[in-house]
Amino acid sequence: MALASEVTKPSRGSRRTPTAGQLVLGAVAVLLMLMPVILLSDYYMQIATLVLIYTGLMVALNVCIGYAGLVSVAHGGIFGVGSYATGILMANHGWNFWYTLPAAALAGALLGLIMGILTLRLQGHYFVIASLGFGLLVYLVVLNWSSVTGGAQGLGPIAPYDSLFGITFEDSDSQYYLILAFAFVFTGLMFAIRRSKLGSRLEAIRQNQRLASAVGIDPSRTRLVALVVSAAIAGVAGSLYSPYVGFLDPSVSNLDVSFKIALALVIAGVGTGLGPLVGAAVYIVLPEMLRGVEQYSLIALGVVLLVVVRFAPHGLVGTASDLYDRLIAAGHRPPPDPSPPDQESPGDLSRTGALSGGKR
Amino acid sequence: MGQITQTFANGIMLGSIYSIVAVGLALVFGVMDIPQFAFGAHAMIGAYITWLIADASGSYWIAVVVAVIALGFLGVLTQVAIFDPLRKAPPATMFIAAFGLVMVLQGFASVIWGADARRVTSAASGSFTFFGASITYQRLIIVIVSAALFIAMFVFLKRTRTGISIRAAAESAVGATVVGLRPRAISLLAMSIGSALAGLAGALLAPVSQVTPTMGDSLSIKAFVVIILAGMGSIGGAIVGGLVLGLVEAFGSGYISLDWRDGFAVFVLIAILALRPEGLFGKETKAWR
Repeated sequence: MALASEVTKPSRGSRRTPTAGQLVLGAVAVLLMLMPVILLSDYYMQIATLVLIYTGLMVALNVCIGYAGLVSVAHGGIFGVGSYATGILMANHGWNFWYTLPAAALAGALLGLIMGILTLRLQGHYFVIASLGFGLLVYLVVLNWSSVTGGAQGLGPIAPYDSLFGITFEDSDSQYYLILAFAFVFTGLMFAIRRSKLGSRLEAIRQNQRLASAVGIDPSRTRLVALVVSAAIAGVAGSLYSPYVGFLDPSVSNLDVSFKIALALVIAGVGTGLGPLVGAAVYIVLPEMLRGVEQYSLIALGVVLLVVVRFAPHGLVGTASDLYDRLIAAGHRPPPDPSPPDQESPGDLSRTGALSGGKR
Repeated sequence: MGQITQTFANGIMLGSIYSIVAVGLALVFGVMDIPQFAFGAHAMIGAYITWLIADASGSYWIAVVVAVIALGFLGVLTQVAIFDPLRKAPPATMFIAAFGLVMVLQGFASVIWGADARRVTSAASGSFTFFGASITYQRLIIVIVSAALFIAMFVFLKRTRTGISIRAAAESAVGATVVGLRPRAISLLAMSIGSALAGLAGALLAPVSQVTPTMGDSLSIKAFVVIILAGMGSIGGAIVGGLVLGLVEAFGSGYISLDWRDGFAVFVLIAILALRPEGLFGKETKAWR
């Protein structure tokens, strides 16, 4: 099991023949680009755009939970700080959106750094509890620092996205494509992290921390870098959120958000390539479908989660990819490539025991 | 003088509630390594059951007993359906499952009882003055019941066969199996005791606070703060830690700022985790494995 997930460079053959995972990813990308043609109402476009904004947050969470094995319940808070950074700079100081973006990334990275330093030595359950406390603290600051954040009254109105290189983002389609571009960048970044030195180090630490330390990997520093990167991404996702909704209140950084995004990502499949998108869809679409009966969406999300954790611990995406593997193994037709067919597919991460954050 | 004793009394009352939940959490987290984050939601369910039964029977005490028993059964159900099947899963999975349980319980509570706050009338109305502090009888009941409970817990864990096997399983699951104890039965028992304690906390809290689906949220976090403050597996530490946290909160919100009420617990949590993860009374740490 563990061996299957080792980082292997794609062979030349597999580069020419796209693997199943790559085909699925490509199809999803095309489908996303066609969304404005498929969804003919502003309401659906709004939901689709929100799903893509939260995909950014889920990518951040995936790096943290899936790659670094750190189950953070603070990412909602970091997302909130990113969105407030942009919101405050735009609404109160008249900044151009594009200048607030790096500021939000920086704010996120800084939070990740503080959280990382505070939790450097903590493992498993203890990291979760500490991140929970950290997230709650962030929320309390946002709520109570009224002179800056507007407190419980909220902050707004926040202007829409400023134009870039002459391109304006006024109608819902252009906003959608702007966010889609970011979602592609985030997902690409996620794969790049996975294949980078940082990714292999995280992988090694997750597989066997003692062995990793023995070959000269510093677990604390690697974790810290991963947390900072992940928090910066969460900050940028938050930054994108503010001009889109135009108004912020402290509930964006609520613990509730942190819980639900973690649950949605687990349902979707931690560590998988499509997990963030599917997770964001679960997080946004399910409550939207059950609008007006919010309490049922709580039950639905909770029950789905409990069933997934119990019977499909790799999540929806991970389980689908496992099933595909098994189908291939069952078929007598040998795979076209000597290496397992979807070795490079996003799904292969699911077998690393992505939630193994703890006692290693 | 009056204000200080009043704040002190409030802190002890609050702390007793925290201690009750924390003792249950110390049993299942410190002993069985199950992060039962849903105990706050269990307390909320206990409070609703208290409200229902007190309304129907007219007796607060019957309601408390029913709530405790009902929650004990919920604990058994939780262990059988959720945590026992996950015992070989990575630790974080249990956490996530507990979050899922919170959502399910809160969802059910708001479906069944709505979002409106319910009120439970106290068994003993009225109050008395003690060193300038006005203390309601219900608050006195909370403190007396929890004191009695803590004594009973100690006797149970130190003197009874079952209590000793729980402690043995905590010491070493393998060792306990070798000498013929059944860890799964023990964890079932510990979880049901823990849930029953959470239910008791909810039942005691019901007359002094509003009963709402989210009333238990901060209780879960605080119970974790307490047992981390106390050190893992230390029941005595959980009691003292709960009282300390209650006092910190009462004095913090009385003299520093009410807005940061929940923040004081978090400051304590982060300070302890950063400086002394083994807790104030902990012998060895599980935190940096």
